[in-house]
Amino acid sequence: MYRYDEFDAAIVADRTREFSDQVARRLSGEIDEDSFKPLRLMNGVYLQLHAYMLRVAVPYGELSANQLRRMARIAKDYDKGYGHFTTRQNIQYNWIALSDMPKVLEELAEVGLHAIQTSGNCIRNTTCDPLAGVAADEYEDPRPWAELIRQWSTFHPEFTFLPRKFKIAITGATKDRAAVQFHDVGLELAPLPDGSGEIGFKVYVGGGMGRTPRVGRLLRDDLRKEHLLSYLEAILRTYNMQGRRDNKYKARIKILMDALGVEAFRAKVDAEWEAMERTTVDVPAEEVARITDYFAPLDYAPVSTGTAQEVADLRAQDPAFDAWLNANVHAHKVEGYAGVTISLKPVGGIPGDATTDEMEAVADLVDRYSQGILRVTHEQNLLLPHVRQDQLHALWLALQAVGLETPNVGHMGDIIACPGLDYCALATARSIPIAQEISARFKDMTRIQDIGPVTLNISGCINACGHHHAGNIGILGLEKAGDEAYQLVLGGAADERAAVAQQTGRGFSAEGIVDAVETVVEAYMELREGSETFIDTFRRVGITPFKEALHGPTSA
Amino acid sequence: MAPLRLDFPVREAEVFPVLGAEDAFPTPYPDNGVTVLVPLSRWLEERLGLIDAGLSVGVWLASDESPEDWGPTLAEDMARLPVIGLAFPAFTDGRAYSSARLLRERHGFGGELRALGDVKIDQVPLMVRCGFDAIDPKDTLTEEAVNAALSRFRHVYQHAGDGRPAIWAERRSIVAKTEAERCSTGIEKEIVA
Repeated sequence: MYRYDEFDAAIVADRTREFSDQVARRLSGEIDEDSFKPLRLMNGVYLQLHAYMLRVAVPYGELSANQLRRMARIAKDYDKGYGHFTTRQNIQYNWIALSDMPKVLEELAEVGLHAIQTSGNCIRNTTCDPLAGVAADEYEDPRPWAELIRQWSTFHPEFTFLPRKFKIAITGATKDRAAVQFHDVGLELAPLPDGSGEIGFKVYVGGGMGRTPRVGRLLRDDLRKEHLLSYLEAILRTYNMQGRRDNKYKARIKILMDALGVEAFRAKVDAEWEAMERTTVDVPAEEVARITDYFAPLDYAPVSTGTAQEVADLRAQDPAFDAWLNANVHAHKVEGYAGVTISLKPVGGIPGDATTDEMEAVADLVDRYSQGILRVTHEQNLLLPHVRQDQLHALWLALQAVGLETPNVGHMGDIIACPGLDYCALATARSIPIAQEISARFKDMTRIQDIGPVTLNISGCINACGHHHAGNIGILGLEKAGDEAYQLVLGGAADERAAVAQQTGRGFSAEGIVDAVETVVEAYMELREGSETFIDTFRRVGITPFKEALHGPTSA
Repeated sequence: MAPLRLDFPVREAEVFPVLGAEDAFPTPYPDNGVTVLVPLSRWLEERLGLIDAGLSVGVWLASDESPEDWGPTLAEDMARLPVIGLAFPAFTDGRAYSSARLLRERHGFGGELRALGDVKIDQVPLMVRCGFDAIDPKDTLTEEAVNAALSRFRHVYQHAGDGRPAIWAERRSIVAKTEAERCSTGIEKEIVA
């Protein structure tokens, strides 16, 4: 993984000092909250319902075991003993005192962590495939490019006061595990269309969630790798100058694209790119090579050829191990290895939360079984990318010992939820209790295996931080006449076949929504053919059968 | 109103009155030697008259204006104008950072580029990086605070409009320097031997 040298460390240290100053000026009253707000947001400090919240960046989701240990310690020393992993691969602490923030940032900086640009109207954390570098279906590892984007975008002086937040995601595989088409800019490493076999970028622009969900539009499919940063600069400059600033809810780049149309938008970006002096924006090939070296494949000691049979035998003997392998373990590009997701969605638990003890236990397992490296996924789980298949069983037993073996990854129970009304000042409904109820309703692991892969997302307000628009099953918590009311949407998808979920009709009460989810699942089980997953069936039959299951037959 | 030049170190700058579209020029003008900033639209309308009268005039852009709105006299005006002001009606309105870079880097403006309006201390280093060399903030900033802000960040990650090398260029020059030293040391050793 990328390691900070003295230059990176100096930048983070200088920023931490700057923020300490800003906090001091706030606490002394020299600046008021309105002036302080944009400054603290750019350092990842939110004000939520009960306390300040700190959002720590995990650049493209990659962490070392030691960094995770430090996160555990921060949770213990400055918070209430837990942290929350987010839909953008970051971690959030909900209870840190403002006066402690500078100290916390110093302690994070010691291990190369920071909270830079995790909020505010600037370029946020670039997110990535959690199987980057190890996925079996990968064209090229996106991490070096994510690191280049991180450096280019950090304290970019021109793009620090954008119309609104800006989110970039990057994938390098045929399956998109980074939801790139739901980002302001989505990047996909893929063969260039010239037939040369060379890898370049497909560039999607204007995807997003919120009140106006959009699937990103393909701007070009032929961007040469060496032009990535200058092209991003052209996109950002166009957005900075022309994005709306009159209405916070109409200020994302997707709205600008709607207004101009793809062709006109592309023409502006291309014109800016052509006119730009690019030699100082695009980094030289040797710098790309230097950064790529940090992500060189690890030494994978060969695994004995008998391993596959051993695993097969073990799983035949133990249905619980089999269930865990089915859901939580992923194909790897190196023979004999696997990626393993640790589900942070225990039955009845709070999605994405991890206690200090859990984080420390995971850190030990990461050192022991994954060469000291782990990833945060945008589904709010943790992933170990370098596990030997002959250690899968031992890892599983170790996870069981600490209660982290829940075999529900990518299945019912692997719910993605925003913090909702329990934490968030913007929320209109509680999301966490709904997640817990649904999780409890679907607690039978055999049943969820039977149901098969499905995504379920819950947002506690129309800002859609739970990404309900991209869920196969999505729930949106609104407020209706003082009672929480829950809308159900179906058929969204966050992968390479990205789609915005569709409405099913009138909403449900908090009790009713859990039944409604079960109704929808039952309807799918009735309708499915062969090995169709939920989304396969939905795509074949459409929304009507589900609406009818929920609300009765629709009139002709 | 306490404008500052963002030199090393920072120092007091001349006051340039900022006029609206309809405002009268201050009297006595131009005998008092003051340079006055007029809005872009007024400059484009009255330009020839102002030039003929030999008045010391600069231009200021509102935040929803950009060099693209300038029209065919842009190139000539870049060479002629002593100062261009760019407005920040609220410090969160970041459009002028892009306009500044375009004026400096794309259109070669060599005069003073002055940030006007809601300029907070934390934006000053960003402004310098985008090519501003003066500020006229609505809330007074002390020279001390601005000097401190400008010297805070020892390195920058990317190239911008101020000529500071990006980290990758800094690293490269260090490597080159180390290589050069190693070569020259080697040669000396050869000679001595």
